[in-house]
Amino acid sequence: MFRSLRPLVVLLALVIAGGAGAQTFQGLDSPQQPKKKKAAKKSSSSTKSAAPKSSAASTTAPSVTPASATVPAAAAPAATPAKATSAQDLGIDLSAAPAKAQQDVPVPPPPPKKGTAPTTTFEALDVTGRTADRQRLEAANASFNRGEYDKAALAAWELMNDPKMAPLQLESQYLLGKTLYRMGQYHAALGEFSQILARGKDTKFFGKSLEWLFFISHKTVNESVILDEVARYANADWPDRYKDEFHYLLARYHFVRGRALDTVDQKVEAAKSFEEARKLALTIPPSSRFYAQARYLEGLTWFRDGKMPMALEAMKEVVRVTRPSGSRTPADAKVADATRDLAFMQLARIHYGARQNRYALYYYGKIERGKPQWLEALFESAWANYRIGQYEQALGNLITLSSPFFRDEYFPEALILKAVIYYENCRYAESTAIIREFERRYKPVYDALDDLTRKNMEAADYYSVLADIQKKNRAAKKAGQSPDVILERVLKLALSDKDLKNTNESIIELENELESEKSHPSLNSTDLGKHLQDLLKKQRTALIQKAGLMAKAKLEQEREELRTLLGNGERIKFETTTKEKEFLEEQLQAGGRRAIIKKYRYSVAVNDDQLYWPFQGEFWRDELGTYQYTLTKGCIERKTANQPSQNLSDASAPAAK
Amino acid sequence: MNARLVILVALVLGQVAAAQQDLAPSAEAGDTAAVDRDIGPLKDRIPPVTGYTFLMARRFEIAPTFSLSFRDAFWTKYVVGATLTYHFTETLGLALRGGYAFTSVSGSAQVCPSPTEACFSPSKEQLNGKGPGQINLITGLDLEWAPLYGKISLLAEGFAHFNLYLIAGPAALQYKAPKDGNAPGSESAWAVGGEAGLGMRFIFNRWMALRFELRDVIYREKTAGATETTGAAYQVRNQLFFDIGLSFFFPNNFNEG
Repeated sequence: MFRSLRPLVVLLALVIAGGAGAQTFQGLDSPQQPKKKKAAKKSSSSTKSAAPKSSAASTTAPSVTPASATVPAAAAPAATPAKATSAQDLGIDLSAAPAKAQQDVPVPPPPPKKGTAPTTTFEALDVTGRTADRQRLEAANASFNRGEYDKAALAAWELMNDPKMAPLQLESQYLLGKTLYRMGQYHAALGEFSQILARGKDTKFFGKSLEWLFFISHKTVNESVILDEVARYANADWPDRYKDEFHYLLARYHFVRGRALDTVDQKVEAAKSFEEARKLALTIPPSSRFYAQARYLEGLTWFRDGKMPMALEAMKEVVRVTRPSGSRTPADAKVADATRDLAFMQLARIHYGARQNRYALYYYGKIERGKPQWLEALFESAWANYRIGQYEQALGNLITLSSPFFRDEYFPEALILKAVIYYENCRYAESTAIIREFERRYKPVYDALDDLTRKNMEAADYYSVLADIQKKNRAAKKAGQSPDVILERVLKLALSDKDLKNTNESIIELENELESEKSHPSLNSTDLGKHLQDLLKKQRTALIQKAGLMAKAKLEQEREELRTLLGNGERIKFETTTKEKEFLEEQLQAGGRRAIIKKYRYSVAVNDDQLYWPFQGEFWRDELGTYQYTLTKGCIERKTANQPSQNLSDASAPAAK
Repeated sequence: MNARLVILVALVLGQVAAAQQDLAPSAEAGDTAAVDRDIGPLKDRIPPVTGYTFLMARRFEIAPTFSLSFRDAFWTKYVVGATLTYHFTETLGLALRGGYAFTSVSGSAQVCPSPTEACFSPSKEQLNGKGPGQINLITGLDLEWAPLYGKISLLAEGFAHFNLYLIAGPAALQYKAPKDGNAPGSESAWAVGGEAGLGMRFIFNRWMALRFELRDVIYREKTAGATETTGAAYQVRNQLFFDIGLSFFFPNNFNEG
């Protein structure tokens, strides 16, 4: 029986071995070398020296990676070329990527006429059958595996630029990319992998380089830096294990693009982008780690399209699937938690938009103290509280927002809301004073914005202005001085745009990387060091261009919003003055006996599970978010003295975001 | 035999291939987990308190004080004094204190002339020079460490801010020591020692506070019964004081910075 099976076993084993050989050799292929010869060489080296894992690692071909699934054509919207002008306007690269990327690829030095190693002497000594070139590359790989990254990077760079090593140029560049990653130079690594990818998907290491993109996105301050690359290779065969992540990132890319298009009023194009984002999000199965985030994105697209029931369903699904569970890893639990909060916020906004204020308050209340969404939840719930007449809670929330902890946050509408509440309670003098304070704080900001946006500068210059403000303020803080308040507000306002904030963070990260290059003394004053500096500077320029476009759009948008708020302030002043005039006239008619304000009865009694602490101007961290303002006086007849003016009430209400 | 060799070689190659498959980018990249982008809990991002209603750093504190000794078997001291403190930081300060003590015979002091005679409370003159702890002047230089700032609710009706501090430093005292050779009366003597204590300030406003302090002054005091032949005898004594003072801070305002 065994005998009869033996040939079959032998055949099977040979097939396995053959496959292995193929995988091994694919990474070593030199276009000039006849395949048969190379295969023979490699197999002998593998068996003879039981090649160290490390050196074999770098020679593993891309086909080894589980990259077999093909992204459906429908899920490859980024390949749809957008008009160059609109792409430029948005700061998002929508052009036919490979063509563009190929321009940046350094032209490899001309290959030697023959693929074999040039030094015959060395080859003659090579008992493993490897060429001298191959040995040099393997030595670099060995350095990589030993953790000698500086050495490996220099060796890889040398190989890349040696005209005699042209066949190994790509492999060397791949090694350089990996090495830079391990050195923590993620943006530089991204630059190298981008160049490999730009050679096209038939290139060796294409699939592997795609995988490295994901690793880089995990390490950088946010994933936005790889979104363009992801979109550029939307049609590529993404590794199966990263397919969901890829679909999610691509959906995000389209979502960000859609938002940018919305900003510049290209609604039709924007709708297409959102539709694409939705389609991609729906390809992610419930079992995926990215399911909740994808459904959240989907919900946002429904929200943008005004399809609230669909948006509600998507958000509720997010809440369902992100229910705290012990089965998640800590990292996944954090992501789930953050997504859950975002979904709660969106649920609250949908209900607020539908004037279901108590539901909105319920969902705002789900955001725990200190979470990233907490301040926004407090501010927006103040509006919901105001709408249902819970003025004291609304003012209480505003106390938290006015605390020194959050003074840097940008909530100009908080003062408008405060003024409206005082107006509703016949506290006209206070209302006017608050509006004056609002004007004192924000009129200069508006003027600064107006000046800035009227200059019609190049996009990148807008970002440079913001970068200058950041630098100046950082220097002032370092020197123990207070930063320029107005400019600081302009900056905060600009960075309230999450996409711009992400890009800004990426630029700062990239600049830090540029600085940290200097911390590798062995790379300093080498060609590689210079190359990396150039590479990073190019990336920075591209990011600055993108950030500049975003900054310009955001500043213009905020200028308009601030103009509206200042207008609303004027309206409140006008209404207040009218009411005061009416009251004075009534008082004259009544011979001075008419009063408009009375003292309210109030109690400081609290529930058994609460403690009462009077607010004396001091902000305690553990009290933030729990403040309730006590209105000690207000309208004598709230109903008749001051009917809430519908127009005024809604004038400054935040639009659900 | 040949076939076996082929199988062996093939299996080895298969294993090598498997090893190489393991070396996918995920293996080469090391830790590929996403970095923690959590902004962290509120306590890591913002200080416990801002908008302080009271701060001490770089301010002088002058406090007229009144102190009362306790757990002293012979003399009760009523000390009128003052403390001048400079607060270098919110938590560290240096205090110079001084006070003049009025003494009276402690209620617990008893003189029992002999086993057959009843004990009685001595008069000041009778105890002068015999009972230890007859302090006249007390001075000290203390390092102050105030690690705790808080507020308390008194039956949910009254609310007060306070800070808690510890003091320690050298002290010098002038006291009435017994005369040599069992001679009647007393003579002034100086003693050097140290003191340590715990205090609390209740803050009224930005420049005034009420302070309470418990201090233990430890010093070496000459005791009665010393003779010319035996020489002076000394013992280490500790004297507990309870202080109360009203603090005024200068400059009378502050910037949180």
